[in-house]
Amino acid sequence: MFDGDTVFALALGTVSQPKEAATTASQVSMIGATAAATLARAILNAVRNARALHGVPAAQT
Amino acid sequence: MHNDITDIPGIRVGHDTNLEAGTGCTVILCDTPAVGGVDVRGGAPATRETDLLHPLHMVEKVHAIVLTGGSAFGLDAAGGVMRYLEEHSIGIDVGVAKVPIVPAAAILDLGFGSASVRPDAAAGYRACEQATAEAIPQGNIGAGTGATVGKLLGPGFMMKGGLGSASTRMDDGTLVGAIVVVNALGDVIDPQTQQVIAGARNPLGGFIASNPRANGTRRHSTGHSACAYHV
Repeated sequence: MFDGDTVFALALGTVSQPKEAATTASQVSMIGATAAATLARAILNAVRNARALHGVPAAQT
Repeated sequence: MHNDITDIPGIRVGHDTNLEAGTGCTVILCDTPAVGGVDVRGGAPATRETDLLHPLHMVEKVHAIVLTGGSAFGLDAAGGVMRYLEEHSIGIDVGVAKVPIVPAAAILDLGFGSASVRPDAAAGYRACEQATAEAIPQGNIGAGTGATVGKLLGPGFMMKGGLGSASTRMDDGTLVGAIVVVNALGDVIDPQTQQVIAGARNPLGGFIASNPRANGTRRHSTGHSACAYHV
């Protein structure tokens, strides 16, 4: 009850081509899986780049 | 590639950081309108302009995303981003004006640093002025300035969270980027080593969670993030 997590997704691009439905669905799956893995790396980068501040230590400490 | 979200062509990121007050905001600008989506979890979100991202709703494109500290107060930063975009004639043309679409989400960082200083519209505007496609600084920057993790034992045993980013190039050339503010109630675990990287500290040393579950799937509130992909 006490938390709020929000994920926004943005799609940009210059490629425009007709796709079969099956190709599109698998692309969405692949991109989604890649996005999740990329987000996980971003999370690790966040805490590893943090520095101690106002008396709160960081992973770097 | 510098392994962050600005590797995505058309994405620029800017921050406004207040180290003394322990808060800040981050704007993700889309140089061309991007198709946007959102997923809001948990019982206590602080968000703005998320309902319109429903797939069946009229508006399909967004012009910027704001991640901010200051809890619900910090959502004001999105107003400053809107002013910046309007000055640059960016927005949905409704005939009498162009309305920028700027979804936003805020973390609760009021307990870190000052509780009375929060990002406002001016801060959001300044973040836009700082936006760049160069490699972005990470950690105690922008919306990550006041972020903390490992709060299960209270403020005396928590650790610093922050802002992070990464990118991936897929085999077909698709670029995927992510930017996140990590403000987890729980601990952050490295999935490869299964070790706690940052989290609630044990008064006797180390972390209280010295034995995470082997599959590394502990569920923790993470914060707010934006992923962008470019085909």
